[in-house]
Amino acid sequence: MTNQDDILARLICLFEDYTIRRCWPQETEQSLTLSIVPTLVFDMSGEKAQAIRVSPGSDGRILVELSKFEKVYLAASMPNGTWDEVDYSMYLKGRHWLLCAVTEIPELRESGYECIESIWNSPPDQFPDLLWGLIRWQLRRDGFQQLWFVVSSSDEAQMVRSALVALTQNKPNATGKLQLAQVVQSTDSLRGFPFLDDPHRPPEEGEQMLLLYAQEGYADLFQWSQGRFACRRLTAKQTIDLTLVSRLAICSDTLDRPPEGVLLFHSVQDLESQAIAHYVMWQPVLHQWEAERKRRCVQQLQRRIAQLEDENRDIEAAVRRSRHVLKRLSANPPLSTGGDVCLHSGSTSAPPPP
Amino acid sequence: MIDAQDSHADKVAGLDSQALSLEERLAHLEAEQRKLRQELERLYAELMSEFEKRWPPLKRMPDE
Repeated sequence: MTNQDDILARLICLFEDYTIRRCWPQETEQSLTLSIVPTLVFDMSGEKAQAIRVSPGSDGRILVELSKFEKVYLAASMPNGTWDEVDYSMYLKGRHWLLCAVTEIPELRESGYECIESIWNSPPDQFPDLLWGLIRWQLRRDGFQQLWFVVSSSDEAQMVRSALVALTQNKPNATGKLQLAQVVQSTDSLRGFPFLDDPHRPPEEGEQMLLLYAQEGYADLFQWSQGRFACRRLTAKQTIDLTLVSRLAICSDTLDRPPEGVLLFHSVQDLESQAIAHYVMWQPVLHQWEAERKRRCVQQLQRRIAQLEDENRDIEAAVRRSRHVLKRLSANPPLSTGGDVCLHSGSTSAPPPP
Repeated sequence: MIDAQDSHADKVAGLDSQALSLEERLAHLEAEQRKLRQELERLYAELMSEFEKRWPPLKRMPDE
């Protein structure tokens, strides 16, 4: 347990020091970070499932990459009993994960994105297959020596452990890796790490979004403030506090249809290590919100102007009436009363205001 | 992308321009209202004065 905690602490350290795509070890942590073996972390504990690859680079740097899940082998209830591979994303609904896929499977398709399975709610006999769908492509493509599954409860940890045992028996090619897999419950540090977010959720005041242009070697940090986003360009070597970043533009080489309002960019070539070829841009959505806010501002101004115009018309009418009365009074000078007017009861009264 | 950005910039610039124009109109109306209220107050004071001249305050007689 001590060893597990120690390695997890190193990983957390990496997460906290995560600088866009790379993490350089602190001098004091040199001995720790250098000992990290190529690791693949499947984090299922936050608001998005995420795979994080951690591997030491040849130059002594530690490479940390976020990677979108790309393919899943669905245990879908196909009429002919077959399975199909689809691109998918995972979303948290309540406490359950949903696999949402762009699918061409007619039996599953109701809309462009189809929520196919609640992974934590799946029947025990299907869960190993879903978990395998989660990891199989990542395992195939990379020679990771250490696998981690980060989950948020002991029940989920038990589900993953049981599934790993089942998979170890059924997937002989991956047995070695699966046997070394570790399952840990997430800590606050891991939970705090920003993963994907719903692109259609309006940003909150002060919220920061990070957009990566990894090939070009820079990134833009957007901060939503007073209805607009201020953009700050970062270079790859600049460190930012990712705990303040609530959205991250994500790269995927399988996403062939962007969510509504989000543009998809195909890069010219893959990123340096593994194929991550598309950039999902948030700006169109943000632009939409910015324009919407300005439209609302214009509407408010228009309403206020209409109200002022009404008020001014009323005041102008009162001014005209007052002038008219004064004019008539001027035409009839006051007569001398010859003394005080007395009243036995009641009070004096002034003319009503105009 | 450039087209989309240009389109967005045009749209936002158009809304900004409209908002600016409306803000100017609003400021004008507010200034106008201030002047009208001052004029109304002045006229009201004048009217009060005229009424005072014509119909001075009634004095209450002590009850017998």
